[in-house]
Amino acid sequence: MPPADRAVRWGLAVLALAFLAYGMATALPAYWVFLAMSAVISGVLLQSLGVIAGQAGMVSLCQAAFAAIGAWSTAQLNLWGVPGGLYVWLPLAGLAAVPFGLLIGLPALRLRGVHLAIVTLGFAATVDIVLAAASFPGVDLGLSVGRPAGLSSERQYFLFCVGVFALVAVALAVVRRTRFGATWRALRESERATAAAGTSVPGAKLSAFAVSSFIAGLSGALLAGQLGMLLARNFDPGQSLTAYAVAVMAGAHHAEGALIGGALGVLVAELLRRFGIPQQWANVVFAVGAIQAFTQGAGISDALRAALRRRGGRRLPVAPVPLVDKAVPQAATGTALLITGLSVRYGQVAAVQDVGLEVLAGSVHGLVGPNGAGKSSLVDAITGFTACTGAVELAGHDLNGRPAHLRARAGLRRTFQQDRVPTGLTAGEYLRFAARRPLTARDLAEALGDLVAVDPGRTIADLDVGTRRLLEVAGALLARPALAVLDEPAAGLGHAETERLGRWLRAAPERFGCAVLLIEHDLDLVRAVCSRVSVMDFGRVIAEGPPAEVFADPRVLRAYLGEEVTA
Amino acid sequence: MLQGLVSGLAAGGTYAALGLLLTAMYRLTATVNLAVAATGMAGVYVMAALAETGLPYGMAAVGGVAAGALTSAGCGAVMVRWFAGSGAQLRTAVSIAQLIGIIALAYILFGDTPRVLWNPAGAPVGTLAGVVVTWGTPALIALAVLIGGGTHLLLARTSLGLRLRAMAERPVTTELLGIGTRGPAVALWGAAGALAALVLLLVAPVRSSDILSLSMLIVPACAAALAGGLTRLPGALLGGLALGLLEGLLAGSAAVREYRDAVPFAAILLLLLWSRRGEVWDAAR
Repeated sequence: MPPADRAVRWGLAVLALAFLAYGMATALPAYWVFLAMSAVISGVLLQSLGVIAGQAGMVSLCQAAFAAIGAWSTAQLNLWGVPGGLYVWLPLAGLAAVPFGLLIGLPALRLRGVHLAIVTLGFAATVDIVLAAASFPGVDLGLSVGRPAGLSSERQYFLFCVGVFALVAVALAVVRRTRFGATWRALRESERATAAAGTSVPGAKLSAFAVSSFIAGLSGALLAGQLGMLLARNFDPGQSLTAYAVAVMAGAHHAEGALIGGALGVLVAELLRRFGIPQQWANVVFAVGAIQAFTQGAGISDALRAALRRRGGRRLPVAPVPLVDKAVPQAATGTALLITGLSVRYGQVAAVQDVGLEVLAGSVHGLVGPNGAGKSSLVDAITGFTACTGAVELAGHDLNGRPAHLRARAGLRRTFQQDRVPTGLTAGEYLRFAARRPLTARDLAEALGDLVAVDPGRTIADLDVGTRRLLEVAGALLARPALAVLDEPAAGLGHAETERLGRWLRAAPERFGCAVLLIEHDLDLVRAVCSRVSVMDFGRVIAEGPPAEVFADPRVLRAYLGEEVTA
Repeated sequence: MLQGLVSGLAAGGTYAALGLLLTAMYRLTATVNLAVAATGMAGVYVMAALAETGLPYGMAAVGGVAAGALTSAGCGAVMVRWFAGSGAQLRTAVSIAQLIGIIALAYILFGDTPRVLWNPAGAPVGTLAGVVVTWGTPALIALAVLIGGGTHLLLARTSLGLRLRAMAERPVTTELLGIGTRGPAVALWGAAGALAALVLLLVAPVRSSDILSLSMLIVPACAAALAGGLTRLPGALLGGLALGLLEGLLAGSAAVREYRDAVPFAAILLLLLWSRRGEVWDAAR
């Protein structure tokens, strides 16, 4: 879809929703307006989960606690009589939750998965204990949170809540389209791949927590304005857990998912009330719904979007674009990478011992060796993923001591043996994320060139492993690094694909102005592409030179084939 | 001070027992089963309901333990059926959904009035530092040691333990080797539920026995399990005991008494920051 069309569609959708909200505010009975308000407010809370859990893939079980901090701040500002009313208190309440978000985010720099779930649950329980011990400000005095002029009626306040929801939704949609937004979704898949693309993993995690806690704080402030009087019960750990389940079930990483989740929460409760069924059945529904969403790997919003895409017709396969010879950055001269005396030890095991290696600028250099020779350890060491001793210089700049993402930014890119391409991005989004520079559609088409035929709009989850691998290679080179380290890019590729990759790699130094260090088991590919080859065995470089010479070296034959050298 | 320590022993036994259950389940099923205390809670409430019908305590308790086992086995069946090949994070997230479901069903079935429960181990065993110690305290600590010892034997000495460990680490590979582990896995979940019910039957009469509080015993249990890095049994045992003693100590000081339940969170944070200080990346390579 062209961007103009998309903008028109979005505009129409926003307009229709605005009319719907206004219609609801004027036409619905007061009771239903109150319910709709609750739905929208919990929709805001769910959007906060959409960021942290939906996009960044971190299990957060303390969103209601962040909301409680927002609500507490609102009540305190109300007690102090800070001028500006909710218009001012709302963003302040959001900001008040941010330090706590960062506090939880700090351990998350080293924690992930189950550990993070435990920390956040512990935080939720702790905030609950503190709130139960010290009630909300003003509650003892019977002082309820007041609404400013213009928001005093329920109908006005409902529209205000809708406005806040929409603002958050639009802001998140805008962020989602930027490289920054892609970072969160990349983080979900693999921290190593995120760092390898030159993105700071701590920065990405902390920003996700900051944004998420800010939004949760907003929802707490809105709730304070809705209810006036707050109780600890509104934010107990059970609320956080339920919110997590609903967010998973509804797919809160999309705005419509958050809204559906909020509406479901209210509607199910209302239906149960009408039929005289205990309210707690709602949570049973959400628990089952969340488990169902986990089995599918997708929530309601994902299913809706997939259905819409199907209705919109299948995308046609794209034919490969022939390679265009274009004046591109000149291959630099000199040394791209210089390693001296590099050693990697894992406890008592020396994986790499005193390795020296020079990759000339504008060349494709092969690195081969049997399994366990230390190739991947060497790659991890030079790209900053493993501690090592020795010196690593990139185009004359010392890289020692720099973290992985700064090495990537300095122009040292790598790919992985394992499939680490973030599946939540589209092919185009991934390439822009990896390249760290603006790319036009033409740039993309040219870079993919005769490498792989893929529509930039396709989601990576829909692509086969071979295509993902080639996309990862293209992404690393599109960044125009000084050196791209490709770790077994041909593993799992078919014969024709490998040949295409070989042709493409031969042309890569000139097209992208970079050198390539190619680690590969496919010796035909290495022979066809590389100007020089280094061979590793038992953690040492045992031979180096042009491929024809190196592969005739008896030591290399012995390393590979186990042949005895008959001297 | 000594009084505080003695009064914290029962809590320590509880946290250690639940922490050991978490550790055992993490090693054997690759799940941090956040619903484990809730399954025990289900057992307690079924026991209370059975006792109200006039059943003698012993039989009601057996019914409660069976209910805990069934609830947990149900959760395990879901895990085995749909999430056998999933990673620990997803399986833990599923257990969160199960936790919500169990709590909700408990509210539906039993209402939200806390029960007054008869304490089976309420008889005093002696006086220590001026504090009357009931049978519950040694019983809980013994239960914790039993769970720890039993798990150790299962893991180290039996072929079933070996199979379950393989299943937890590489489920697909294990199945491909022709080892059927689904039945034993569900039985293991059931056993964990029965043990959790047993622990909570001893604890619930002396703590706030409402549904949410009992289910949230999972928080200190997690802290205890983390003391052993989720994998080491002795660490979980000692961590749980230490946490209980610390809480007992703080309960003696008027200034922090109200906030002593926040101790587990602080413990969790410190333990994790220390134990994970070296780990940087999400995958080994």
